[in-house]
Amino acid sequence: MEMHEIPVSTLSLDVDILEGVVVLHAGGEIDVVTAPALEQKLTELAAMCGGSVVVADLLGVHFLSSAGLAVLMRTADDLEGRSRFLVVAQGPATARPMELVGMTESVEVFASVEAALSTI
Amino acid sequence: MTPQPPPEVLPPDGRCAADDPRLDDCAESTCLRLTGVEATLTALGPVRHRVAEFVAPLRLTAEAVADVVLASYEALANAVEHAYPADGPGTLDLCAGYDRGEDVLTVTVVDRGSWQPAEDTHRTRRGQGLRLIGACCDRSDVATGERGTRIRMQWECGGRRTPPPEPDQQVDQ
Repeated sequence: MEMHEIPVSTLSLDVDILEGVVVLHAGGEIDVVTAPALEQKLTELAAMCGGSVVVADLLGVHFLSSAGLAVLMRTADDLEGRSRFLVVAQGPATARPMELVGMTESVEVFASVEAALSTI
Repeated sequence: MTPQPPPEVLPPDGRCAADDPRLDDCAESTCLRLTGVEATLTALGPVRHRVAEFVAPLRLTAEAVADVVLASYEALANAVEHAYPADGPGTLDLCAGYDRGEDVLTVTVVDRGSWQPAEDTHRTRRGQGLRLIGACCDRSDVATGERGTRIRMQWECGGRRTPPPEPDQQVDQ
């Protein structure tokens, strides 16, 4: 197949730390290739900020597969009882798969970072 | 570069949707056939982009396009993670066919391995992938034979279309 011109999956991860709240801005694609990088970063941030709030902002993500959903669910489990874990997602690429697997019942999902931060 | 053997033909129980005789006008615009895709995780991203390109002319809603691309990707990832031993060679086929008469889109993913029973530790994630596939499409089925596994997914396109643009529409500012 001649598909070499199509770039491989990419994921950017930028961290903002403001007043004890850690916001991870993800951009690109979260699939079986990039999900491990997301998991590693979330694990680092979770270890770093015991007792505060972790926000995963997925507004820049345009593909989210079950590998990524599993990372988010494991992070929510990991943080349970010590930190709040908030996810920011909107639209068919990210919020929809979370709804389809019923994740929105167990993880707090917001349409914007501002909406997530307003609940703190 | 090691020379690769030519892609095998599809297993008898893994017939490509695009081979369906009802797809008599199986021109490039209505059929996408990717055979002999290397069964590695990194090969799947480009296939996903090809599926997105294929469905673009069908004028489906953004939500429907996302569902088709996600379900196709999950079927591919499932095959890569479960059909072949971790370091074993393998190939996959993906066929996407649009039946104009029925207004139905069918995506089929075929592997030539046998799902590895020892991978119970991955069960949770696999369950999630198959669950997503089921939630994304109208119908899905999995057929397993001695020569491989076929996952077939179908979407009724009616009711999933974006409205056509108004003729001579003026954009009011």
